[in-house]
Amino acid sequence: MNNIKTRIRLVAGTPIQVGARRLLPSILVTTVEGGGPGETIRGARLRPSSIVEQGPEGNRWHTIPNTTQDQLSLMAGIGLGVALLSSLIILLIEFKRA
Amino acid sequence: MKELQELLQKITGISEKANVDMVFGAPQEVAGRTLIPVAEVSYGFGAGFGSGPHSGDQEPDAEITETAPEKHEVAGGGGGGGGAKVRPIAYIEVDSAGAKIVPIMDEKKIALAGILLVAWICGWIGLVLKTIFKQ
Repeated sequence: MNNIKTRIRLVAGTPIQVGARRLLPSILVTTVEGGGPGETIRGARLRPSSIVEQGPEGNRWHTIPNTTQDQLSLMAGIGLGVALLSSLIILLIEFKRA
Repeated sequence: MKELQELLQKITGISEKANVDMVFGAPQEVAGRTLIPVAEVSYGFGAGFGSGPHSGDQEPDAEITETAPEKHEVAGGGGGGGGAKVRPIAYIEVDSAGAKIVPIMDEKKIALAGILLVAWICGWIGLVLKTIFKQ
């Protein structure tokens, strides 16, 4: 497989009207395209990015969080930190003994 | 082959347009408030195709006879597969006060990751203790 291209774009979604309020969504689209002679792959990930709320009070920006991803990233960070700290302690103990 | 790639290009274009609207669902009226589901959508597919001379059971340089011409025709084969995933990540709550984003947490995934993290930390602590109390 060769010629794999990744593209990231911010796409405006269809505006949503709720009463007097109008919500303008935006979506982060990541596409992967690739192929060669006799083969092809296509893929996409569409992640909601934010909404702009237009109401009588004016415009307000809301970011859409990915809480699960944030929590998993935090846990991965903790795991990495523990591994680094433990490795450092082991190295110091071994160094002291030597 | 070019036709296959063009077809896949068209399919991708259609599904992308459809899925952009799938990310923000249709507003639902619940107890005087409007709820709009928000999801993360991902999909992918791939396909491969190949062709070559078909020699059947005969040797490649065997004599071509009139009685079995089909054994020397070009043969081809292909395959493909794909998948799609839609995961709710939040919902938008709209009431008279305004819009509010309420995140949805995948508790199953968090719990599994938490168990793995605890096991990982215990493993490292065990390793440190083993090093400390080593003769």
